[in-house]
Amino acid sequence: MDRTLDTLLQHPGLWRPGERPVHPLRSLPTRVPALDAALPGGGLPVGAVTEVLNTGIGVGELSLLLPALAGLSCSGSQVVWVAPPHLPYPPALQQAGVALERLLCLQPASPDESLWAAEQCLRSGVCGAVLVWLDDIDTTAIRRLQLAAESGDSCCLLLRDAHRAANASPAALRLWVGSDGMRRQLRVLKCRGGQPQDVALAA
Amino acid sequence: MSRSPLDPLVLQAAPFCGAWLCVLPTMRHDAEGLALWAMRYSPLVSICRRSSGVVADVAASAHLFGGLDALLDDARRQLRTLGIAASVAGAPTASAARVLAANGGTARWVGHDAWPARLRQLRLEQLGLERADLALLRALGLRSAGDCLVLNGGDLDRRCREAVSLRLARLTGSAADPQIWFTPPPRFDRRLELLSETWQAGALRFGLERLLAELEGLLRGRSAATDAIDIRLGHAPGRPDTCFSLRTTRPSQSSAMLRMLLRERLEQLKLPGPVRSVGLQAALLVDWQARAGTLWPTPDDTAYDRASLLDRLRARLGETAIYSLDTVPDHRPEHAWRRTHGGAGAPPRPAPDTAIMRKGTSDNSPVPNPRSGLGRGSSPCRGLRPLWLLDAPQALATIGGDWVEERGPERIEAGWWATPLARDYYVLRDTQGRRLWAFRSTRGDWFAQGWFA
Repeated sequence: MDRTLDTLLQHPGLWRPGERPVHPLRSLPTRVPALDAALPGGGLPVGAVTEVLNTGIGVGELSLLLPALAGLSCSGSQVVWVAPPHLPYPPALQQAGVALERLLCLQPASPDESLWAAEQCLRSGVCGAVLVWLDDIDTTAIRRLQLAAESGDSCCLLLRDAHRAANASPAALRLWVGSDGMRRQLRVLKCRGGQPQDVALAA
Repeated sequence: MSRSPLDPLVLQAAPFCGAWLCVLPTMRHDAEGLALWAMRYSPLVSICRRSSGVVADVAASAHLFGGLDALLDDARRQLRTLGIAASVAGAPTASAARVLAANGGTARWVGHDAWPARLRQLRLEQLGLERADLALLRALGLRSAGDCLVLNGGDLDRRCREAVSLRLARLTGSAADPQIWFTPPPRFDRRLELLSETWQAGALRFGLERLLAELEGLLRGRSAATDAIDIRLGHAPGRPDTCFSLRTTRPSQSSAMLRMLLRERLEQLKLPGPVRSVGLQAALLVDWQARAGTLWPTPDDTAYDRASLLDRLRARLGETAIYSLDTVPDHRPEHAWRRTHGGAGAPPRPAPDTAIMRKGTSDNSPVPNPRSGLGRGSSPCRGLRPLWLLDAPQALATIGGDWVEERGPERIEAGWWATPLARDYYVLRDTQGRRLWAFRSTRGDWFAQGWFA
């Protein structure tokens, strides 16, 4: 009897609170050591939506993701940016190590189109990561992105404003990026298989 | 003992037997369109002069469709999808297929062995004979094809015109039945009048899909491919047509991708008025070779998926909404970059009809430059550059915030060869932790030009 229960508890689909997941999560290392250590799979979850909430443009939300994107693009994987708020400046991207020929930018005319485009990219199975700037997006839409990311085994990064942190979200991982005026602050708000915590970034 | 096909006895019995498909529309239908469509089964297609039906010699290609019966089913299914009412028959000779199609078609393929029995049962009226010949044969007391076949060639020839025995010989396959083959046009240019004016995307799609099926037939028949089609929607006379084109990154023979792109495009389309006719034009790329399917995905497949994703995005969002970026070796920040075509890395589009597409032109995936791997020092500029560049420099006062200098200055100048400029660039930071790339002009004014995101 006990042995049956033990075998059951070993089941990879079973997760008990307060415990690191038994099965290895597929993840995309962020190459930011402190953040990778805080995340259960050692990186951003693949096949899921990661929300990145930032307190304003220019606090360093993008440079946090760039090492991961650089790694992806250099390994030949496609990276798509959907509806970026400004022009991504190629010299800076190159300085960060992003292979520009693997970066595709989409500027759809409306949020609905952006959502459609992001879904298509995620589902296609050729995009390693899809970054979407969609601030006003509801739970159903995030769930759609989640399903698309799962079916295409891709990593969806949703960039939104920090005041959306109060809204519930089905995203697997929610990160908050802000600043105390001098240094960048990073917080894990929600993490599937992990604990919410503050992450101390190296200067 | 089985007889080989070269056995003189077999040859003598029916030396001109093969496998012929006949499609005979029950309502009036454009014969050329049907012939183009039928080319999907065989490049040897002939239009019947009397009816607007077509016959195709499928003896050599039937195995590609899984046999004669499967081919017959496929043809019937295709016609049903396209909304073409037609009777379909398959028989060992062209005349036989025509006669069977004219009499309601066949449910299954009529083979060499079954055909003579079937023929004997046909009534004389069903054979498509001239009226005078028919009257004469009737007067002789003949009622069915079987009756005629019993009279050997000599008897029949003596009593009526040679045409009758020739007709019977062609039906049985004992005489050659030369066909005037349909010559396909060098480029596809077809127009279809709609039954009524319509605003509905669904009705337009129906018409256009019929044209796409014809295009696919032509492509298969000529072993060609296409990568661009032009669509023209005709309105009332005097009004300009609505035109648009669809492009695929890779030339293809199948219309599946084009059909999907068409659906996306029609949903987005705003029509200025009801549509009366639809037209489709396409240039053919000859000497095209199909991609062989592989069990394991190759880099080629990934590139293919990537190309089809780009096509879909382009069809719905428009050409300008998709771009890639590249650096330009220039020290002036506004000129140090350029927008490139979204499909960067795709092979250059070959010129229609002259291009020779070879197997393996699929090198769609630029190999990442090993030197640029996390490339430190590969950038042409040394200074710190922002991730977001503003469209145009913006007066710092309009952005607001309490800015302090964090880094700088970096002097960027341009001389007499361009718009003269002299700017001192700084990295600024405000109390909220935002970092800005701004410069001070020679007059001392501050302008923001980018964000360090």
